[in-house]
Amino acid sequence: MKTYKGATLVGSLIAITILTITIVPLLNLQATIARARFFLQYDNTANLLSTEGIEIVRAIAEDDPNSLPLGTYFVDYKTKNIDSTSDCDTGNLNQSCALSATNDIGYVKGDRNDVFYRFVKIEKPSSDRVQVTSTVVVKNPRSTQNRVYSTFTELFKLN
Amino acid sequence: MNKKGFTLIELTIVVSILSILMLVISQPLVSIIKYQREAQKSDNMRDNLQFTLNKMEKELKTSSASSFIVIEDASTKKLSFKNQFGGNVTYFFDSSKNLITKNDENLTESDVFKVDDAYFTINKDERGQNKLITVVVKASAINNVEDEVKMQISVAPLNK
Repeated sequence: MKTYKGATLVGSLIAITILTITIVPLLNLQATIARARFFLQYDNTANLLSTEGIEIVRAIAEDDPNSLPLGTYFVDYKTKNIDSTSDCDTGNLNQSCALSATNDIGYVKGDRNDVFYRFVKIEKPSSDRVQVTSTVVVKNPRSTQNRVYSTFTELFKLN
Repeated sequence: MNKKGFTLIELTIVVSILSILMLVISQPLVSIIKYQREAQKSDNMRDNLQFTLNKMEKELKTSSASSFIVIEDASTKKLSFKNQFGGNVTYFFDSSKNLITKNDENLTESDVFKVDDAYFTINKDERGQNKLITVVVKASAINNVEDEVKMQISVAPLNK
């Protein structure tokens, strides 16, 4: 009688395990790099937009920092007065703080969901100081993970 | 004594399976290397552009706010101002050479990006005084038209 000898169950399991261990991390790494690259392409712009938030507030406030209203606001470079209230924070991104660059005049108020979100928070930590914090968040449309790129804070001394 | 080796068919099957496996494994590796190279180029382009904008930002911040003038028509985009030393400075977007010049000298000289467009804007207050100077630059990586970026700086000059 002819004997047919195939692979054993243990042999097969070991082979499958080795294959899985080899391939799965590679696929994971690919996904991680793709995600990192998505955010990387917005990194520099997010940094510039964050400092711009402070400059816009400074341009409005320099004559009279006392006039700055306390709260969270949307500003873009066309803003003349801080009056556009925003309820954005890093956990609640909505259209009220979206920045759009679909036109040819730079990043201005978005009229739809976009990649960049910016809000400035104006606080009064003490009676003689106003603190302005500009935050830019980059939203990844393909995942729920957003990234807070940069936050700059500037203090205005009140007279 | 029974010495039994592999048959040619068995060897062929094993080699084929190994080849297919190597092919499957190499795909993610090739993608990773490609991603890495593209990301490096793209990052380099963005860093260079940000560096240029930061240079402009520093100069604009210390310049005289009242001296800023934007000249913009169909063929010319210029921003003129007096710097902190009182010297006249003009930024000019040269669309024929895809670069921004500062007093006729190349400001954005780079072998990794070219400037596709640039805009200069002055935001004035109710009294007509210059408050905020904005520069928007649209650039793309040289030899990769798909890698485009738009960056902008806004500056409230410290020197009134």
